[in-house]
Amino acid sequence: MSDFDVLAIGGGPAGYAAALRAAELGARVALVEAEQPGGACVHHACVPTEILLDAALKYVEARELGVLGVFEAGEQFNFARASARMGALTRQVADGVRAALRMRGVALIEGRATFLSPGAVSVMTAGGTEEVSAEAFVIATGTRWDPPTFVGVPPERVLTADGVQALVVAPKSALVLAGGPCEVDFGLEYATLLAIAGSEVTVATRNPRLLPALDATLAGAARMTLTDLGIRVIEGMTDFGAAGAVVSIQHEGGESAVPAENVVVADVRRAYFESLNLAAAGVTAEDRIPVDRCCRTNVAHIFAAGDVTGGMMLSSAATHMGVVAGTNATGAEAATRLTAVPRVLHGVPEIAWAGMSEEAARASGYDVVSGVFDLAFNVRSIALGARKGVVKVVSDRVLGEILGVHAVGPGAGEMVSVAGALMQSEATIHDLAGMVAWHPSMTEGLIEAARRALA
Amino acid sequence: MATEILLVKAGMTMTEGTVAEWYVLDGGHVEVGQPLYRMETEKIELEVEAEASGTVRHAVSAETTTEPGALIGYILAPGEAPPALDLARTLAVAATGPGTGRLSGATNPAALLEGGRLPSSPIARRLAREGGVHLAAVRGSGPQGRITEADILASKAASVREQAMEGRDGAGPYREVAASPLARRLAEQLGVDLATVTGTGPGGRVTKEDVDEAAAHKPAAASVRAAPGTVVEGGRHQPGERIPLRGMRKVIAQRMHASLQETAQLTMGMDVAMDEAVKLRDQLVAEWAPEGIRPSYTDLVIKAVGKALRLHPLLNATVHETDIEILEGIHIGMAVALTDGLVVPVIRDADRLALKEIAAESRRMAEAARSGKLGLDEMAGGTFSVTALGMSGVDFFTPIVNPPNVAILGVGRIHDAVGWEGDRPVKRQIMTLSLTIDHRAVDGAPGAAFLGTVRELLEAPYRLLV
Repeated sequence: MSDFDVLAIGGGPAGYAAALRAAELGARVALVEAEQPGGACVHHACVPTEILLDAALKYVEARELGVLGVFEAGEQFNFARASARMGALTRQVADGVRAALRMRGVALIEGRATFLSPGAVSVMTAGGTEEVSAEAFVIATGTRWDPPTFVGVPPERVLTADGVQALVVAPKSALVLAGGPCEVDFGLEYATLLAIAGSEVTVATRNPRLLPALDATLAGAARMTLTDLGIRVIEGMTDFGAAGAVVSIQHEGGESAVPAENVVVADVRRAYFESLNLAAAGVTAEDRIPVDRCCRTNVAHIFAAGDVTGGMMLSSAATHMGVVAGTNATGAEAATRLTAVPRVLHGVPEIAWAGMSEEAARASGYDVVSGVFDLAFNVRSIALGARKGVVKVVSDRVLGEILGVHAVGPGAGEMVSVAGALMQSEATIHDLAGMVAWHPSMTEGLIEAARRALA
Repeated sequence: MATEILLVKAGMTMTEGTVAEWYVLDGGHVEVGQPLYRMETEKIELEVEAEASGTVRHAVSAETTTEPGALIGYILAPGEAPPALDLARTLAVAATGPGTGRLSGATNPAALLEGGRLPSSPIARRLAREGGVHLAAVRGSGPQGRITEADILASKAASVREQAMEGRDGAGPYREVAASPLARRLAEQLGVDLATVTGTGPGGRVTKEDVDEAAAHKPAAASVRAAPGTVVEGGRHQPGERIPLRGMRKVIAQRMHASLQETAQLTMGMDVAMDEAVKLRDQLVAEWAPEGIRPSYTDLVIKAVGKALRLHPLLNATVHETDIEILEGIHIGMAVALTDGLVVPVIRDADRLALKEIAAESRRMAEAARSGKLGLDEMAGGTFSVTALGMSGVDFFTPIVNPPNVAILGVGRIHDAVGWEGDRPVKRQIMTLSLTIDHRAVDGAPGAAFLGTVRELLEAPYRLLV
């Protein structure tokens, strides 16, 4: 008999979701984690960014209210203090993960796992090497930072997301290179953070415009969330070269020289599984571990979930996959449903979307109707300080399927989360247009956009 | 002790059979030796007699297809209750026939007969216990027939649907089926009965994808039913019987024989990616539904053929003693199968008719043909023929040219296939066209060119609308 029914390898969102789910279903479960439970999400990406940005955005609001004389607020954004707060709050999240594993009776093995056979791994722990066998495995080793090298820029001046989080003082200037493995461009969040913290920031993208997945109607509003903070935006970059702290960028409009004490490549990641010795388990992989909708690899009892499988490269998707993999690893049957997953970027204000843009929907052959609502007329938006914004609903004319919802503005995340819930449960645009929301709320703006699409 | 009624195994090769008809109603009385049910397989039809006397309880409804040895009912002694009433009910639910996906209607005969423990996952067992579902009534979809969580959920959902169907009283057919709003709208548009769709959403809820899937498999399911149906129809004829060659039969016999004797026929096949055409048709079905017009794939093909013949006039011709006459009008005959033969009504000026007009006209003619109301002039003057066997599950065949035409186009089944986009396999819906040409008038290359044009039109079908 094996030591465990299910062994999850990797303690990020996919791995711990799989472990918790399998334990919930009555299996004997262990989780192997080489660093800290919580993974990149808790320690290097979603959680620390969210905490830092929360401080930065509150600073913007406080400064705004300070200017109006509502109350007195300090003048400086203290990056070091914000980092300390981030560290404390992140530990709280990580402790929560450990507690959840403990309460579900999941054995936590801290070390690095290597397959010995399709049924067993060896784990290198602080106390030595131990061999662990299991009936089923869930591989969730996620990704590793993979920063490129730039001619003329010494590696220590190239920052990935964790590098930005580790800063104590904001650099005088920074070039943020947009792009990454997922549609959501986390670089924009770091650009926002650094600009608020006092850096002179340039954002450059090789795409013709920022956030290609965002509906084109909202492209201008999305760009303004950056330019309003004094960030310079260069779209259609073709090449760039560095000399000292100045980077020269070739783009469609010509050439620009921008100051860049640091070059930030926030979200360059690749699937990580080298140390697993997949060959011993018979699992095939190339640049990622391919899986089907049940999160199965080519080996029947070995599953994989989250970033290591490629796909959306989002924590939310990883958690969903982890639950599916954990379920299937116990012999039950589940399949992933990853449609209309909300994408939210925290900025001033938020940018968010779920589903397709109007352009993408048309290109897919849909007969599209859409509705746009200017959030300047939304009461909640006015109550928050008369913030600008826009929300757009894209729908199929014949069936009424909600194909996409895109928003830039205060509460964009709220609107898109509501829309995502409706889209995932396959409500139609008629359902959305007839919905009753709280007043005043941003969701009212979403409903209004849907009504306009039907008008 | 209740007597189990099992589906008989007729012959070593029999893998499944259909309870075609119960001769004794559920709850009715049967005497030993009396005919109890009629079983059909692809090859034979059998009357099965009762092995005991008593009250008959059906565990599966008529038209259920299952494995030999499967439990299909009980014969009860007076005062005896069925061994598990809800088992019987679940079985009946599980056996709602083809198209219900995982629940194929087949039970797990080995386990039932031996009374052993069924292979099932721990969660499946727990869910079954909590939900009052009998594992024996559930067909396992996991490895080695292992019953999974999804099987139990699907079984429960099917049972809920069954109850909803029984309880419905004209207050809206879909009211009680768990389905997303989008799935409901789509089902309405595609004419899919939600009660026949297996839900894969949370709690067995029917999703848009499920309806799409069901709609895509509708023709296939129909062909599965049609195949044994044809055999059974032929089965009405008794061995030793002589069928007189007269009327329509005689005309078909003479013309087809003459065609093969007097012309030089060459048949070629070409695959067409129908993904776009399927989309277009789905849209048109929805759009024209209010007018009662329902375009078929054959209508799309007829429209494409009309256009293609304008570019390839040689295929719209007649061979005479000394010359080949290229014909003026493009009048397309479409073969319509009847119970005991076929007729070929003609759609006139098919190249000039809009797709909608072709759809309306072909529907009218097919109906007229089946009710015997087709006028003789409506069957005369065809310059090219189209014949479809796709709905009977045929991919490729060798149609016989209908003289004095020089070509005929056969329409195959639309089925899922793998295509390649660079190195990436993609799911494609493929249909094979079978073109027979009279080599006296048309050579292989021009025939293939015509076929290529038809393919191009069907692969970019929006051009068929203009």
